[in-house]
Amino acid sequence: MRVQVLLCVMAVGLGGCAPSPKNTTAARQEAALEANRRGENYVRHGELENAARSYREALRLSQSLEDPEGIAANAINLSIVRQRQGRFADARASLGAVMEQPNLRFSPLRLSEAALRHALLDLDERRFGTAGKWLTQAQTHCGERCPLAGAIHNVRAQLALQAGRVDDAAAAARSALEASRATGERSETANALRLLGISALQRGEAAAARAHLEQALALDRELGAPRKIALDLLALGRAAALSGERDAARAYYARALAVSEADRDHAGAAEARAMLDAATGK
Amino acid sequence: MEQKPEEKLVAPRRFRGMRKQVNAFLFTALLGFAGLVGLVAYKQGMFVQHTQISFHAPDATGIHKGMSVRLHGVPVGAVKDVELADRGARVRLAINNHHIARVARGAQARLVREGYVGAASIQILPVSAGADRTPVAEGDEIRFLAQKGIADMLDEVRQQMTPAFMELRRAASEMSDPNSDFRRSVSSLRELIEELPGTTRDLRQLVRDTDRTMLTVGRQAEQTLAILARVGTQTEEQLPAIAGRLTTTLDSLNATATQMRETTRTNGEALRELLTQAPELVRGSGELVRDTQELTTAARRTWLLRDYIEPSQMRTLPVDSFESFGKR
Repeated sequence: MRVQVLLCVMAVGLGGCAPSPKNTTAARQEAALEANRRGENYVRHGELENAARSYREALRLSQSLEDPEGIAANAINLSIVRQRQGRFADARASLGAVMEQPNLRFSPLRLSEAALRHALLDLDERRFGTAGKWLTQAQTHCGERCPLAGAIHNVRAQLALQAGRVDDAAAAARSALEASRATGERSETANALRLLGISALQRGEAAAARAHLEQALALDRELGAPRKIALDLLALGRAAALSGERDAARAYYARALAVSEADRDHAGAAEARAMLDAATGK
Repeated sequence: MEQKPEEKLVAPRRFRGMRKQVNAFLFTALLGFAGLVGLVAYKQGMFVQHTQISFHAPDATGIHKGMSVRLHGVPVGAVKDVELADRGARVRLAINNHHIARVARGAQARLVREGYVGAASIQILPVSAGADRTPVAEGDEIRFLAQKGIADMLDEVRQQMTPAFMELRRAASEMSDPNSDFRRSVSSLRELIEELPGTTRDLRQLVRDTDRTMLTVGRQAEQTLAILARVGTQTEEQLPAIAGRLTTTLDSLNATATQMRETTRTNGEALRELLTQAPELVRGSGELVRDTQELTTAARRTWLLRDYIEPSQMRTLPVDSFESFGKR
């Protein structure tokens, strides 16, 4: 009882010291921040439609205040969620809030981020030509010292791999590795190592591939990224198969299958199962 | 006694070599002073290389030259200069090159005190997720988080106390009003809860009665079957008796059905009452949740707590270059 009385007194005291809620700029900014936080929570729990709704609300509130930082952050978040939902047109439309607003002054980093998102959307839809153009734009905005340099080089490496230019892909991945290590972006470091592994696989260098992929796997485990762990394991399986270790390859594919199933990644699980079946001769 | 001009002045014997001794003493003193100056300069970090960065503050009250700059509480530099600029004041910081790698471009600075009356210093806040993590370079500018002074805070408290207390008083009077939605919801809920044991008792009684009736029916059915087995021989004599027993059985079943109907009606009414009150209860709960949220938000904004809460800024999901790799 005494504790309850004390808590009531504290609540009244703290309430007395607090500003009363008003429909001011600060209140709208706070509402936008709340919506941004809610969106992040929904993404963490895989509720993409709810996340999109929250980010749209946060974007609307930021637009009503002409807050460039808020507009850019929420437009980019909304485009990521829409891409994960497979709604590419909506993802592009949300980026328009940044790229088609000449009257607002966005920071070069945000412009670079939006251009990179466009490149990723084009890459996803196999529009490699336009993806390259967006990537150049992202690089221009990014400048010399930029936290996105690693990601930009990694996308360039993926484009080179798609075009069959394995050496260019490896060179871009090495640049990505250097840049991401300099900025401390461990996720992009893992991506660069994976791309180096895949490039080595395409050149038929199984040992080099395994060395890179093992490092990528260790990093992805630290970061807790199941989809990438499964990608690493599949690539390690291919490296093992390339060096004639069929049992090891099957073990890697089985591990990839288990990880994808546990993560409820149906596409990843289907790919792992297909490779496992092929390895076991089914 | 007058001295002759050709007489040569000869220094007394005890002063011979005095010049050398004085020079040696002066040289030693000079050396000591230089050493002392060097030691002080070393302690002040004069021989350490610094990188100069700056921030703009709308009001530089409390910031002065030489003030310590700290990162995680560790001194990493000092305020080099404070000068007037277009947007208020431009504060230049000299950061020790040894720590420069830990100060990112996206970092923010704010003026803090050790406690509310302790020495002031500039605190570098570590970079948050999504911000630029590359180390600062010479001439870079970081953001400054303006903090309100004690006088501003007290003024703010004075301005905001009155409406907040009035709001609280209104909420408290609403809660104490017997005719308010909240009180009526609570009363209805209590009445419903009080009725629940009676309803449960009635239900148990119904189950017991039904069980007993079924047993009776079962026994009577057995007896009836036995009677039917003998019906061929005793039809003429026993028919009236059989008819009487069947009537009793039907009466018993009828009574049970009536009791079941009555209990169901009672339960239905209780359920209807509960459903009628449910929206009211939900509304009351919603208001309680909203009030709690407002109180929490208000507490977060109080000057006692807000310094301990992470500064708010928009968060961006990480841009991942492998967002769609597995799908191709």
